Amino acid sequence: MRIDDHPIISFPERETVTFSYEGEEVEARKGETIAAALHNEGVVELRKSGDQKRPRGLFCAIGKCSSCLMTVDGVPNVRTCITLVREDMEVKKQDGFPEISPDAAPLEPDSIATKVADLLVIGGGPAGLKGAITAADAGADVIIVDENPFLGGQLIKQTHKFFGSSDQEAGTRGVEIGEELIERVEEHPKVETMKSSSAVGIYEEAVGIYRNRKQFLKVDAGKTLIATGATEDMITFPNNDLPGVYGAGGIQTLMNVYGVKPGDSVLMVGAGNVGLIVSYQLLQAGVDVEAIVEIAPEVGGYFVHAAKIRRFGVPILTGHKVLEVEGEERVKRVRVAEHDGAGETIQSTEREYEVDIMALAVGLSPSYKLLHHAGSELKFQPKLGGYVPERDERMKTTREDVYVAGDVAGVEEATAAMLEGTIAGADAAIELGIGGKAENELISESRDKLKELRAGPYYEELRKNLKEVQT
Amino acid sequence: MIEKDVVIIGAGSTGLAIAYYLSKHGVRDVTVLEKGYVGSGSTGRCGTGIRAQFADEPTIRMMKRSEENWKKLGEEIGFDFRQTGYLYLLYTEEEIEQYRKMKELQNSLGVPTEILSPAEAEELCNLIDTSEVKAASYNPEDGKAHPFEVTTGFKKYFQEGEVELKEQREVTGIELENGGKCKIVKTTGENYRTEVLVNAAGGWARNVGEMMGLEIPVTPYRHQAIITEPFKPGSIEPMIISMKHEDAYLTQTERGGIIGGAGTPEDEPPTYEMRETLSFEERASKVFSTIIPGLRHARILRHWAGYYAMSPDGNPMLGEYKIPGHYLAAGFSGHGYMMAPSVGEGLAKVIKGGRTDLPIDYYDPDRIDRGELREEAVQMG
Repeated sequence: MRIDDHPIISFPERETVTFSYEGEEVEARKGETIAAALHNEGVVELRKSGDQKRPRGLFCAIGKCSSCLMTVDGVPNVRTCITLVREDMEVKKQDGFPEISPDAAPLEPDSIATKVADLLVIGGGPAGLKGAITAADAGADVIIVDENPFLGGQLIKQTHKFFGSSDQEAGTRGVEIGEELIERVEEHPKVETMKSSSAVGIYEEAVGIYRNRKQFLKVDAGKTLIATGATEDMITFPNNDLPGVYGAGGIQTLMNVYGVKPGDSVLMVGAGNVGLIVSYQLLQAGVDVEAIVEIAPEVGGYFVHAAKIRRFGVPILTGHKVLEVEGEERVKRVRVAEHDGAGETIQSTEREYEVDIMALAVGLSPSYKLLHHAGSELKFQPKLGGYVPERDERMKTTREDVYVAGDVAGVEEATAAMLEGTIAGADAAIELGIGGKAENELISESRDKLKELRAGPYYEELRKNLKEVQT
Repeated sequence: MIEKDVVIIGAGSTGLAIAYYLSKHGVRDVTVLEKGYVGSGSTGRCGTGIRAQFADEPTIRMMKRSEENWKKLGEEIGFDFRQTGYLYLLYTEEEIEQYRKMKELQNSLGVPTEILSPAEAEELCNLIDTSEVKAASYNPEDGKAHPFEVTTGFKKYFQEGEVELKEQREVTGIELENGGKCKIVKTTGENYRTEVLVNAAGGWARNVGEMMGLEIPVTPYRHQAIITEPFKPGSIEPMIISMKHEDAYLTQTERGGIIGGAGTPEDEPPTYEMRETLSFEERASKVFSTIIPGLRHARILRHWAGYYAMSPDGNPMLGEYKIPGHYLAAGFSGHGYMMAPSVGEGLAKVIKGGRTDLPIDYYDPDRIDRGELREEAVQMG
């Protein structure tokens, strides 16, 4: 179902693309992903899982969780949440582990090309975009890769205005910041952009890139900036894998990027900032928010966000946990109850909600795998979201040629990500012998702003965790 | 100081199998020392294959027994030895001739290898591109076993019995007393005194030897392997080998991933480096998708390296070595995992002072000093 009338976003009319799903013709909009187009048609079960053949649908919508795998043009296990529809594409559901298909087209060209750059940026979100712009402005040749068909990372779905008293981005909507950064990168003569391209490994020799399901490339770069962001967390309860259980960010992507309404009524889990903001955005898209369930005794997000939600009459149930989700092929009902503080259910506090979607806003974990592969030292820091790399004050990891910035360095907000990206891009340029005084100034400016951003009692634990990973 | 009848260094497949067979023969006062965890060396990094298709009589005899033992061990310890065969793809008349001769020898020793037509090979796996294949050599009794199931199976078996397995215990030094009769084994934990010491340290056998002032000619060469995302199980049952395509081997695990490897470039020097290389991924993906075109878009999920611990002639070094009561079980040159059950059986008997019908003598480690090098056993990957 399309969102036609949205208070903030206008979805422009787009050309129609026709593709086949299980032999049936499906009409889609040019520039949307397979998963978004199928959701619009009401198809939420995208495959049956490998082993147990359980129904699976979309969860993260940004290529991180592998829940949405389908067979596309004979190629099995394609992440349909980051693959754009194309005229005459053949999309098939997988029933268990897919067959090895001899029909898949060969990769092209046959030989593996090598590209050379000063800086390779992996991840085109706020951190990566800023890193790329900063290094390119200094004169470095930059390649930026992203698995998604768009740059902008999570900025492009953030319709809310940014907070912060001192930073220049405060008061601007994330989507606007994103658009401006994308334009700068795409028009920059020193930046080559590769979308729909996965960095598959960081080796001594080069970085391997699998591009557009067609080509395998090697990028031999002087420095690499890893800005791969974070992955939405899952919690355990029966049927947590049913189609209709989404990451809150996944829902944001469906609604705000593709203009697809995910369902009619939702139960949100998690009353942190993400849970509160996405609940509000669901209301804006015309979805009934039945309640927000929070396991902690109090709301974790900012007071203003919670107040806004309450004004709409949405109850926030603190001290509650999810008992289970019911449904055969998709979510039909969610059961929740109050717990005693130690996680045990308190009898006769059970509530049932008839909903067709459940959204999980239960935290994010840094997407650290490429850093691990690169050999950068990692440490577990709960307040930063999980495993994060050790880094110096210029965002260089323990591997000389590998930098880090954004959520993968510790889950914070886009403003911090942009500042870290600037620092990393500037220092990479300096170390390459390209940057100089201007870059050093940018670094100290950005460091001051970061310090301001992380000031105050709310961020005390975060600051402690950051100190632990400072080399 | 803890007194032990036998101390074994290394809890890979070799060390574990020797301990198992010693206990079966009544020697139960045994400790196995492992610096990492069971199988953390080359065992857990191996390509999982087990075959009797070799070119020389002793190896075929060892491997025939090994396959019999793998089957029994699987039943007793609780892992699956899947006898899905090894299928060598042959592309030239010379290759067919060579494998026909090997088949005759294998058949004469009770190994039921057959030479198949390309169509028959396709029946075993219809995904193979047989357009250039002229024939195939196939032994249905060859197979594969999951190294983690095997090593953890042994671990559980020992927990319920008398053999002691100590993980996270690195041997830091060995002192010899009484003309070497008595060996003091120092570790990062307890120290042990024993008369019988078995060096089953795989790629690190040389380092253990140095602690006793011995130079053991075993050298680690890095070999890499990959596993892809899972596909429908049963798609590639046999271990498929193509010497034409960089000595590649590949098969499918029970979980569905395609696991395999290809030869190391001849100019790569010996190394303790365990990092994987992008150039290997290039080579492996090229040869895998040439052998099985359907794998062109298969994503590699994991990629790792282990060692082929090479002896000077590419054959194991088995038996008492230089110091009385010091036994070597090393230098398997890429075949340690598959051979472990017969090595365990044979060496346990030798250590007990008994007789074995297995050709353990053929692998006498002193042969290297005597200059009696054996013909290199057929190797791949």
